[in-house]
Amino acid sequence: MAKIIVITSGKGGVGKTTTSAAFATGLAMRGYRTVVIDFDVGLRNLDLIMGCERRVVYDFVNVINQEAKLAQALIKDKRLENLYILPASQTRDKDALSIEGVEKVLNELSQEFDFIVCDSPAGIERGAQMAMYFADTAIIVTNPEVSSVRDSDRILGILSSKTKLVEDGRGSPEEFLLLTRYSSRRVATGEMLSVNDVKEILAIRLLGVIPESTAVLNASNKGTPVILYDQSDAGQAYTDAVSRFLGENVPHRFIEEEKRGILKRIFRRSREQETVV
Amino acid sequence: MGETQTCQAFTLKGQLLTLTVLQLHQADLSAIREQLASTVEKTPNFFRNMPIVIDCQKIADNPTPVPFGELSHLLREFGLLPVGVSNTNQQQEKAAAEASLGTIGQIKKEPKKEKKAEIKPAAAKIISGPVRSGQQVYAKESHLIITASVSEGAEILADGHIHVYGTLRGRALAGVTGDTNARIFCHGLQAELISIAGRYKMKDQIQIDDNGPYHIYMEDDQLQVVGLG
Repeated sequence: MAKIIVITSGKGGVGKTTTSAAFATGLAMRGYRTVVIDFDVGLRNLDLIMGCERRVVYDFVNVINQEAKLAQALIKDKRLENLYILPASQTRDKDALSIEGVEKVLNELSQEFDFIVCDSPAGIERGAQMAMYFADTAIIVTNPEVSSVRDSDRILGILSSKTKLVEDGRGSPEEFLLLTRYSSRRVATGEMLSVNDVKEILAIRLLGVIPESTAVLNASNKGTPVILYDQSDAGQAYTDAVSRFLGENVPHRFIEEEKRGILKRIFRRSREQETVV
Repeated sequence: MGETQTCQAFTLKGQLLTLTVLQLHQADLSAIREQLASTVEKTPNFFRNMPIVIDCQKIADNPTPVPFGELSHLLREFGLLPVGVSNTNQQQEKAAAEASLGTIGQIKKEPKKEKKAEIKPAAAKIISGPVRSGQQVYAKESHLIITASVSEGAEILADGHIHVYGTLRGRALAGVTGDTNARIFCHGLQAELISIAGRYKMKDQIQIDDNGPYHIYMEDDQLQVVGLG
């Protein structure tokens, strides 16, 4: 049986799709059969970030409506053989998703995959609720700023009340915090909330801290999940996060402000180069 | 043909007047005379032509009839003007009417007993996880204990006391059915709103000088926030 992970946040634009792409890729790199599903019906982005937008024939809604078989809709990643993408529909809206339809697709995927990563849309309405309903684990993507933290807190409340695990009385999804767009310099000046500030308010386990990085935009432009930019800070931070998720004890990097030596400044450019596995 | 103007003899108007009430504790005229003498003597001008309502609330159960006629004369002797009686029992009402004193009615009502929720002894609703933004918890007919923090945007209510073993950031309302003895305890206080039995204070009105934990209670109709640290 596959483990279902939802990447959610409440707030929009914090890095859910970036994280879904990076995390799913990271799991596949570790040898696990992984599928990543875009739940943002009508505003699909995952296919762009994964670089497979030209190969979308059928989508999630087609499968739910039995207009296509799952095998026809799944897109195999060109870089990793263990990784598949199920894109969202662009022309339909969120009402096209039904609980029964989603459940059927997830059950079918569970037969073949070890991990199912669900990229949730922003908000707390139907799309977000569908994405989290069947989750075993939730990664709450949060920016270190007040409105994102408040929205994440709201989502945590919904996770502990409106999910299948809770309704069946089997506990609730395991919750992890992923802090994204973190800038240690801005934390030092007091402009940004620190890791401890966010942890204190949300009171959930910290999975990782992803620093603000130019690599993220570069990667999305190229249609490459940023974790594959293994020289970049963001890429490395995602790799660490995946390791921690799989149970390894990895110390957090990129939290302290690095003392910029002259050599580092000269070689800073090279950190954003692409190094594809 | 001209308009016939009727000259009105009087107009009835509604007006709010403050009247002094003389609340009788007993019907003994000599005792009343003695006390009147000493009271009025101090400031006679103050009492001159002062309208007075004779209130019988405290002697409602007293079987001794009140000599309203003589009492009325006594009061006028000292410059007071009895205009009526209040809170009389049937017998007293009749006697007052005979002395040309109308019953003004129930001026002072019995204080309405506050409807307090019956709190079952040691009954408490216990929440062990954080109360998240958007969630609402209500401990009906019991106290509320939360062994974690309460997020901003969350609401916790109880008929009894509220204890937060964490930081209170949301809204906390204790004694919601009217129990002014309800209290709020918390380790950290950053609440948006705190309330006891309907009285409330918003974040800006809460001044904390002491260290936590904090104890919030009602005293003299005011919310007090005291540090316990």
